[in-house]
Amino acid sequence: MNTDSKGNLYTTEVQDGKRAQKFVFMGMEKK
Amino acid sequence: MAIAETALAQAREVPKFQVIVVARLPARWVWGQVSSVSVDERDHAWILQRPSSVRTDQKERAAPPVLEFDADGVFVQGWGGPGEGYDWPEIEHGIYVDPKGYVWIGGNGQDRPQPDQVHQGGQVRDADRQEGRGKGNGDTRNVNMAADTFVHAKTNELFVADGYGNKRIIVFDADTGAFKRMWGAFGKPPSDARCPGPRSPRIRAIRRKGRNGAGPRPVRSSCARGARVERRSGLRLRPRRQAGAGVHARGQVRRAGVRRSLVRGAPLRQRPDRCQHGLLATTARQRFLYVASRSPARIWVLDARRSSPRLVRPARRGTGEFSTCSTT
Repeated sequence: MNTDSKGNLYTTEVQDGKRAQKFVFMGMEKK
Repeated sequence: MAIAETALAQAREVPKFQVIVVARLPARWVWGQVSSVSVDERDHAWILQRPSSVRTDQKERAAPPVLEFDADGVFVQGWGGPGEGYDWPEIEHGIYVDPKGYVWIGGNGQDRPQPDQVHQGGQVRDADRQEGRGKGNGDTRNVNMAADTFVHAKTNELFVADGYGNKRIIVFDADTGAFKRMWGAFGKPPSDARCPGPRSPRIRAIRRKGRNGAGPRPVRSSCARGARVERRSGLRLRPRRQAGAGVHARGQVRRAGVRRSLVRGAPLRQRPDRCQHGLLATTARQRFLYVASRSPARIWVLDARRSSPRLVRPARRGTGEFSTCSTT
């Protein structure tokens, strides 16, 4: 897992996952 | 009053994400297990995957272990694997691109446990450590099954967590490879003493006291505060100052991780039970910690100042969800 300069989040998966995903930071939201 | 209200409002805000598929391989290749990702200064994603984990009938189509994608997810290059003149880990584990653009690989396995420093183009720059010859936690020249690495640009120091083979964080000069310092559990000198099993009476007693003595694996640094964060086997994450041993006196080390007590009130199935395979990353502003737990497969968002968790995604296999979060 890692983040870039824009706050986007990257994840990877082992075992059966076998993929990488990018979660684009869309700003802040209220809880 | 206005300041207090603003602070309260900020405390109630959490990051919001939209998921996209980050990386599409050229059609001739297929993924193996994807073990790690690092983002360089250009926001290119460097992904480390395991060709050896590709199923037998697709071995010929296995992608190279190191894959670079630009910020738009377009494939740039792929390389890596065993070759002459350098050591390559048997099982790829962690990848890190340092501020100078060098790519560091950590891995484990029985035959090739060393981390190598390799150039962005795939040309080996420095692999002077001796393959498979680690002499234990006191060995300041060789590491043993390094999981993850990090270079602190300000001091040009390479931090290596070789917790698969040893139980320590070891620091080298990033250019010369000269040993600088190391430490083990609780900031003490690393020991070769065997760790008792997770269910042993000793470990149970330690856990009741809030401690765990197993080896660290991933290592990350939050640059704004100059603090390095390590993940320890068990249910916790620990921030530490870069100097390591001797500086984690009371008040300087604190828990920042996922504990059952932090999610008290959440449904049982939403509580992290095994964070030993989780890891940590920080946002650009160093405010939030992202923690991946393996069971359940979740990304937790923690406010670094308040240690208040927030569950981001449920664990299913659709896009944006997880089967198994990686260990690096």
